[in-house]
Amino acid sequence: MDIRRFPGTRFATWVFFLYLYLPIVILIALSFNENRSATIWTGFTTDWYVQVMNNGDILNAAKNSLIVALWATVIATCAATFAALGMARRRFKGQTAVSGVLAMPLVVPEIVTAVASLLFFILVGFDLGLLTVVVAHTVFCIPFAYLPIRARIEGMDPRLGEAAADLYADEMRTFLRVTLPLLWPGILAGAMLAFIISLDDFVITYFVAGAGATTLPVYIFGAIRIGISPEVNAISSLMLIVSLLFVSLSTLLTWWAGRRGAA
Amino acid sequence: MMEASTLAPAADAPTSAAAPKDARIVIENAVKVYASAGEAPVRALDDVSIRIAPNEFFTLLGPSGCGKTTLLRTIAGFEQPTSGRVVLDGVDITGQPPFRRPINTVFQNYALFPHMTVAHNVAFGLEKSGLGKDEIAARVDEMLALVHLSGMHRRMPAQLSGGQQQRVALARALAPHPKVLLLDEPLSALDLKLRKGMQIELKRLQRDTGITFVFVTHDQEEALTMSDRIAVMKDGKVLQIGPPQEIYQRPQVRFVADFIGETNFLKGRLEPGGVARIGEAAVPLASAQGHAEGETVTLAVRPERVFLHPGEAASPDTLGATVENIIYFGTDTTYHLRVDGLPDPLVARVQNRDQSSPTFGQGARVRVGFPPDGLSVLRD
Repeated sequence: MDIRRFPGTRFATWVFFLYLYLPIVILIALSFNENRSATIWTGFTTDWYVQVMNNGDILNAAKNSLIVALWATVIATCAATFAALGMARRRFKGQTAVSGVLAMPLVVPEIVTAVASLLFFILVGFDLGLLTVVVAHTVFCIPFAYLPIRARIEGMDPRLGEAAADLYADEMRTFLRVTLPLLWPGILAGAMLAFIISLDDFVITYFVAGAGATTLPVYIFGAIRIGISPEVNAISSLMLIVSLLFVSLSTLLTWWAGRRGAA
Repeated sequence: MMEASTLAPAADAPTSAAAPKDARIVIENAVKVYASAGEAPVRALDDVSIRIAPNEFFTLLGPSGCGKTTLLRTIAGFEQPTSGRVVLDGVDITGQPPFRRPINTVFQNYALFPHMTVAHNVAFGLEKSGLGKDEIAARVDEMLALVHLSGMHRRMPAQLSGGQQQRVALARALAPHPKVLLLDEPLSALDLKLRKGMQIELKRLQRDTGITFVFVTHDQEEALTMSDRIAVMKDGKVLQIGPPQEIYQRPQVRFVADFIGETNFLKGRLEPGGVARIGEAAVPLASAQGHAEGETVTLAVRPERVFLHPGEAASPDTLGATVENIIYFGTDTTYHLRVDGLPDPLVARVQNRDQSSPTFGQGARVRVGFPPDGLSVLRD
């Protein structure tokens, strides 16, 4: 039985992909629309992109987004790497529970995390700003960074660590010369995923970002309340490109490492 | 038939009890218990004591789960014995981590570092040795030449065949000139032809380097062809230690006789004068040490040590038998015999040396004899 022979499969597939990606295609097309009214096509222009590049608020928001994403990625990836190493090292009591807790941010509704984070920061007396955004982002980035790293460790031959120890490498040397290099593709993939997730986040950022800590998604949200402008389309398109770039790179790395690691 | 001299207790023959005086590695009363919740604890090593001499090719032989790999990992330092000691050149190394022991391992799946070239793999164990860059490079060249992989320096492990990976693993483990080389079934992943070649190669490497080899295998033929001495293990215990000839010719327990090669088991009663009563025959024994007269024992005899004489001419130390089945192998012929007064069939193998080698037809009556040193009295 071959599902591809079902009548209408090809048609359904096309409908499905249109359903998924048509809005994005329209968004990209309209970002090149000459007309200020976002929905009427009058001609091709790249003016909106030029305007985006000259808009100080947008550039500032982009800068904030990058700062937050970078810090959140670095911290989350380090934490995730150590967590994955610890989980793979040996079986211990309550491991399943720890595993669940690690993945928890993936299933907790974002709005709950957002409200909770805001409440927590106010309670502790943190001033809302970029720092609070970085802290909040780190939390939900950890599981995203953790999963590819863990997968990579699972695929690693435990004998390799023993072989290194057998050849006079102490634990530090084994980690630096064998474990880390082999883990590296997983760590990079995890970091890129975390970076994208952070760059993309709106709900939590909206709650915990103070004045002057506006990120791109928050800026876009604000801009759209005034009206959909081709400028917003242009920023969105740019963000899409950055995201695609990172996700592709992450996938490519995982694939490449899988090919190389297969002895 | 011509081996009358072996009737006397084998004084000059190597005996298993005579452990080497100067030992490279000594395992003393090693016990390893794996305890897991809700299950009965497993004794992977049950009071194992072994002395291995410098320069020796020592093999741990046994079926899977017999504890041979656990013992190897205990020597390497990957496992800590529950009790007992591991002594290297007189120094207790039981508590030392693997990276402090001058002992290297060839792993079953080779465990080459996939992100390093062949040369870097081989050099890995030398980096902490204090050798200079040039010396390391020279040693890598030397090691790769030793395993016939010269010029493969820059290959990645994934680009090599299984046999080549095996050689890299060997070169990597030999490069630091360890005092002991441990080999964990290193040939099991190779095909038959490659395996035969590597058996000879390993033996040569061991002789050339003078390093003590401890080799783990479940393949009895491999053990017999390569080893200076063999320890046969089962259920965490060492059943018998000795040179291949002794393990093969004079098994002490039924498992050893059965596990290695083909064996006939016979019931017999020990009688005065060093004679075993088997059926109606009284067969002289080379040795029945540790057994009392009148005791009923199990005797083991290899098929090629069973003698067949044509005809019915009776003598007190032979048994009458009927040929039931004939299997021709070219170099030799195997006869399945029904022996008068014995419950089990007997297998005899006769070499086809020349035209004068005796042949027997199906249903022929023959007489069966045993050389005194071909019969081993088994414990248990």
